[in-house]
Parts: sequence; C-alpha cells; structure tokens
Amino acid sequence: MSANSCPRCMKALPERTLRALTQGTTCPYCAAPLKRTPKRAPAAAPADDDGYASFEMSAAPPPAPSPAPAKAAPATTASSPKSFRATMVGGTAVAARSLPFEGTPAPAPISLSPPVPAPAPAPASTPPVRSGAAAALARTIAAPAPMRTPGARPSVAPAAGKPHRTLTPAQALDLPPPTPAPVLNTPSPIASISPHLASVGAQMIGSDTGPTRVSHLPGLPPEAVRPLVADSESGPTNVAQPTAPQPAAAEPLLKFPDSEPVIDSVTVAPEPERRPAPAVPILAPPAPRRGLAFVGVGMGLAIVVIAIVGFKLVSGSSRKVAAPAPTAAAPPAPVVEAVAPAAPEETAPPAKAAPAPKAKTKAKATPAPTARQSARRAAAERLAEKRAAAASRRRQHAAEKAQARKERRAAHARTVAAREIAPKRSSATAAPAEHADPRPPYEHGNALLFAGDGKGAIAAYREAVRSAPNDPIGFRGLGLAYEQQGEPAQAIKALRRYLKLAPNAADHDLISKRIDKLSKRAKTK
Amino acid sequence: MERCARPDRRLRLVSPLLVLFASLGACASKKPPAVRAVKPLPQDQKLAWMPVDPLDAPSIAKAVNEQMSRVKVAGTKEHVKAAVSMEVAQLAIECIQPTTICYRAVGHSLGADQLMWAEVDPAAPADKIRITVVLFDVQSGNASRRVGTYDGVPAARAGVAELVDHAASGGSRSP
Repeated sequence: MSANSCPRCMKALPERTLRALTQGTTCPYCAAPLKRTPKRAPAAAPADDDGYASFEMSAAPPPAPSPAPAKAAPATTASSPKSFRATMVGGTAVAARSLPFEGTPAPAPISLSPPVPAPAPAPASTPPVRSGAAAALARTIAAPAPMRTPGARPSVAPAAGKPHRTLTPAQALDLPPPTPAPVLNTPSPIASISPHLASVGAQMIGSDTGPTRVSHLPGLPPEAVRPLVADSESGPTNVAQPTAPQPAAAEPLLKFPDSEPVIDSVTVAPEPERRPAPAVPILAPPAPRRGLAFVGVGMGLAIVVIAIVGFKLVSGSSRKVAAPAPTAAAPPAPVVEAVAPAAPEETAPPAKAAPAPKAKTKAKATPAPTARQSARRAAAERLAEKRAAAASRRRQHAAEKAQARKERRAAHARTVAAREIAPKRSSATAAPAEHADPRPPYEHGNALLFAGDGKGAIAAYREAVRSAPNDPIGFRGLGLAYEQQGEPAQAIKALRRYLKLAPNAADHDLISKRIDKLSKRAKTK
Repeated sequence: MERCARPDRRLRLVSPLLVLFASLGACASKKPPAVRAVKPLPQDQKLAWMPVDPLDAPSIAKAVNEQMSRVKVAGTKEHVKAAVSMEVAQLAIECIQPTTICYRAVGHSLGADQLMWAEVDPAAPADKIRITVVLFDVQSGNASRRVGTYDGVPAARAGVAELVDHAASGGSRSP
C-alpha cells in the first residue's frame, strides 16, 4: 500500500483526490472516506524527511509522490508495518540502545525497513496504523528490520529455538516503567498525539507464535491503558479490558472505516435441538403392511391346519397299527398257539409260539408311535419276517430230514409197539391207530393230570399212544402221570420211550434229568 | 406419538407368527402317554400254588410247600394246591420256557388267576441253597420274585417262611 493509494481498495488515487485529502474526501473507487489530518501537514517534516531521516542508514525512503509532502509519513508507516509488532509503543520515543536479549542484533545499526513493495498487501495481516508516533517509536526500537515478507515476523524475542518470554516493555527495554523516556531530537509526530498517550503504559506479551496480548502495567488504572497495537499475524490479538472509547484521546490521523468489522467476540450458542428424525417405517406403507400381515396370518393358519391334519393322519395310522396289539396279546391266544400245532417234530410248536407273542408285546409297549417309530417298526417287522422265513426254511429242512429219519424208524417202532401194547389190547379194540390224531386224548390227559386225577390221566395218555403209536407225546404224558402216581419205574420206561421217539425234542434235557432223578428215587425205594 | 405407535405395528406383525409358533408347538408336543386303566382286583380270585418237586431237595421242598400252603395273598379268596409242579405242568403243555406266555398258559390250564411256585436253583454253589419264590398274576402277566440264598438246608428251612411271606406280599415286580 502506498500513500497515494486507497488503503481500502489499494488503487492509486487520482491527483484530485489526493489534493482533497486534507479536507476529507472519498475514494472514487470504493467510496471509502479518506481524510488526512490537518495537523499532520504543519508538523510534518519536509517531504522527504518525515522525522526519521536521521535513522536511515541503508535504505532510502521510497520516492514520495510529488503532490503532498505529508504523504511520506503514511507511506513509511505503511511500508513497514511489522515494525510495530515487536515494539512498545508509547507516548515517547525511545532512544536506540542495546537490548538485553540474547541474539538481539546490535542496536547501533538501526535502520528503517526499506519499503518493501508488498506484492499482495493483505489488509488482514497488515494492521492499520493508528498512530504515527507509534510507527516512529517502532522504527526507533526495532532492530534493523530485515527484509521480510508479510508472513514473516520480526523478532524482539530471543533467538529462534528458545522459549518465548513474556516481557513487559520496561523489562524488554531494561527501563523502569516510570522513567521518562528520552526524547529524540528529531521532530516526532508523537508530539502531535494527544497527551494522554504519555500516561499510557502498555505491557506487551510478545510471542512468535502466540497471540500478542497487551495488558496493564502495574500501577496504572485500567482506564488509562489503551491498546495501541492491534496486530495479528498468526493469532488473534487479545486486548485485556478494553477501555471505554476515548475518541478525543486517540483520534486517528487517517480515518477510514474498516470495511470488515473486527470480530472481537464469538458467541457460542447451543446448537438448536435436533429434532429426532422422523421415524422411518420398518416396512412398506401401512396399506401393504396390513396386506402382509393378512398374508402372514393366512400362511400361519394354513401351516397350522396342515400340521394338525398331518398329525391326525399320523396318529390315526399309528392307532390303526397299534390297535391289534391288545387283542393279539389277549391271554387265551398264546395258549392256543402254543398248544395247537400238531407236531410232527415236538420242538417246533414252542419255537413257533414264542416269537409271535414277543412281537405283539413290543407293539403294545409303544404307546404313541410317531412316523419315525412306525418306520422303525415297519423295518423291524420286515426284519422279523425275514428271520421267520429263514427260520421256517431251516425248520422245513430239518423237518424233511427228521421225516426221513422217522420213516425209517417207524417200522421198527411199530413192531416194538405192537409187541408191548398189542397183547394188552383186546382183539376187538385193536385197530390201526397210526392215522388217528393223538392230540385230543393227550389234552384230556393233561386236564386230568392238572386236576389231580392221575389214573384218568394215564388212561387218556394210553389212548393217545394207541391212536398214534409213533407220536411221542403220549409216552411223555404217560411218564409224567406215572411219576405223579408214584410209579417211577413205569415213568422211566415211558419217558425213555419218549426220548427214543423224539431225540431232538426241546425238552430232551429236562426229560433226561427227570429220568435220572426218578432212577435215583427208585433206587432209594 | 410415532414411537408409541411403533410397538403396535410390530406386535401386529409378530402376533401371527407367535400364534403360528404356539399352534405348531401345541401340535408338535408329545402325546401324553396312554393311561392304562387299572382294574381293581376282584376279591374272588383263585390262587394256585404249585408244589416244589420233591425230586430236587426233599426236605427243602417239604418246608417250602408247607409254607406256601399257609400263605395268604391279598386279593385272593381261594387258595388251592396244584396237582403238579411248574416243571411238570410246562412239560405237559409243551411250553417249557420261563416266559410270561408259558406261565400264563400254565395258569389257564390250572384255571387259576394267580400262581405261586418255588424253584430251587441247581446252579447255586455247593454249600449254598438259593430259593426263588414267584407270585405270578395270570391276567396282567406281572411276576413278583423273591430270592433267598442260605447256607445249608437248616438255614434254608428257617428262612423259607419269611421268603414266602415276602413273595406273597408283593416282592420285586418283574415280568
């Protein structure tokens, strides 16, 4: 920014505007009010020396435009705005002296910063200069301002790498605050500043990285403190206890309204209560949902009906399967089955009678068969049928063999029976009994035997033997009846005959043992 | 309000499923076991006790038979002595297996509702006498057995009474 340009829009002001600056005018481009304080012109030094010429050693001030000699001052202040940052600005100018900081460049070669043509002057980073005296003081105290970009920061602080220090201006300058500052010989625009600046002591807390804070010096009322520097390059500048505005005390030389107001406070308002998002329906809109519910109910009912019907069918079939069990297991049936078969071979009837009732009892034992149980039962029945078929085949084969054997023995038995029984028979009753059924007289004999009628039982058994001399059952009955009557010899004789006729009988062992016992008993008698 | 209404909608959706599952569970539950009707025992039942064959152990057989002749079985009115032993009866009816069917057949042959008999175990050790007393219900096929093992004949004779009484009072039930 140059003196001939608008501080706001940064455009070069036309000559007419520059001339009218003292009376106050506005920028023809941005309409910013521009006014050059009338005091400045008379107090100002010659155009090319605005009071700081004696300090210049290396750089010459920029060539000021011809129209106004007073323009040099703002130009200079504008050209080195950063020199304020590390400077205590007060009502007095401070003579150049050595600073107690480490690494601080020697104060002797004080130089004003050459006007750096800022390629892109940023209003935010270049704080507005409120006071020409402050700028002069900054030049006075600041170390030889290096050529720096607006982003760089002048350092009053110690060398880089050391922690920043908080210094009061008095500490920074190694001066007691109340000590009156030396007055420079050079005419200073500070003299034109309102006298209250002399009573202002500011405490600046400088930091390279942190914000710059200005606080009160001890011993001064807070009202007397007015922040003179409000600069922010990297962080906000916090001014403690901003005093009440004193327009008369700090009248800026150059007035122009800040187009952008400084935001000095941020109000954090609570976030407006978020209303919960409207409930997203889980499924489709209501009408289809109802339909879905009806469909679900219908499906459920259908499944229930199917399940019930299936269950009924299964249970009905199982009942049908289980129904015959009790009738089959009725008491009289086994007796008939066990006794009924007329045995060409005596071992067959018990063997035949045994498996059937067992299977029936198994069927009875399962009270509530399910489908799986019925399947198992069917498999078991199939297996039992196979086994029964195999057993019947074996039995048939054995029966054929036995039949052949029997036929061979039959002739011999017939002759023997004829010898034993025939003499006792009368010639009238003698009849061919080979084809008669011995079972009825045998069962009659059993009934008499169980009733305790031994003699009647013997007679019945004899009748059975007569009717079928080759059938061994009659001889067995005779043996048991004789034993019951206490005739062991006859019993042994009949039982041995039985074993001869039925050597493969199931009760062969029992009969043999009984013969042995009867023999012992007979011997003892 | 929407939140309040939401459970109703869910309930509306879930309720058919609940009904379905409940009905399925009810249908799939196991059928309760069939209750077997227990008929009260008639008081005029006939008990036939079958004597031990004296061929095995005459003295023991005599003691057991005496005890069985005196025994009273609850629920029976008539106590009769069978003319034959269990072995003879089984031989006569040609059903020699020690099964319920054969015992039932013997019972029907004797015309008895209950049977009681004793067996002297021939497989017992030489110095031991093992006696088994059986009470058999012909109609139901239940048999209650009581086994006693004794050291010698005197002990067996002494202990037979208790054994028979215990068997007559029920004993351990086994088919």
